[in-house]
Amino acid sequence: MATAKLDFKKQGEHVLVALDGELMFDLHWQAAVEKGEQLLADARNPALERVVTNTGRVLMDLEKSAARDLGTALIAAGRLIEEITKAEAVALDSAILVRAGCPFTLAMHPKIVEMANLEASHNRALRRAMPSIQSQSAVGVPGLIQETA
Amino acid sequence: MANALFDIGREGFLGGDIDWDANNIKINFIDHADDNPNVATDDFLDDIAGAAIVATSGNLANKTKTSGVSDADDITVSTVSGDQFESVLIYKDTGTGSTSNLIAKIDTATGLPCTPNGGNITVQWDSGANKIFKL
Repeated sequence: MATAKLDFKKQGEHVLVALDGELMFDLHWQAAVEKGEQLLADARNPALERVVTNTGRVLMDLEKSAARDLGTALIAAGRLIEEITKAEAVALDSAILVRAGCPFTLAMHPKIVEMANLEASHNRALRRAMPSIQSQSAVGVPGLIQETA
Repeated sequence: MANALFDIGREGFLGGDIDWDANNIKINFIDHADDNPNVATDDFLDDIAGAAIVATSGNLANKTKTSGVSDADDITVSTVSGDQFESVLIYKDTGTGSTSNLIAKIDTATGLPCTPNGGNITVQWDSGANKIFKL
């Protein structure tokens, strides 16, 4: 049996999925996540032997394992686009974690992680609210000598 | 609370906003009864209540920065009078409070707290490894 080749591409806020070079899905990231979750749910359904779904272009008749793989990939692609479209909010939320000293952020994208680190360092409101980053710098202990007036 | 650098001071050094040996660096004596500086949230001199500033020095002289360790000549503030003060503030003086970066707060020092008697007060910087402060 020949193996079909799936390709995923990002186009703006959309996920494009091609099967053997032919475009099957052109979904907004939210729709891609929903579609992926639906495929996973169908793949888990013991009443179904195969997963049949309408892509909008063709009717797909998938084995459960293929539906699981496609669903997982759609969700991953959709979430990745969500992260990029909501980069500013994700970076701000991540900055709170950075400020709190967590060794991880909410983002995978290196640019968003960089934005989060910048916000953690420079966002004045955040710094005032979470003044907890400890410095390794050291300040000496001077002496004050007062002369008599 | 131990002696510490202000967050804005550390940022200033990293961002190139503070040039230790080229800028005018001064110290203030601070009365905590009027304002206790917060190293995490206070940024510039205008964040410190004016009433808290008991005295201000002239510019630190002969500043050095070898290996990231800041040092300068001991400094004398002349004829200091007023309220008891609990800390010494080091800051970059631009002449404008809103742009004068706070650098360090020293509240642990021999002779602190200090009640001025009208005479001169000399601050002798630490001669150990950290000198005034080490980045």
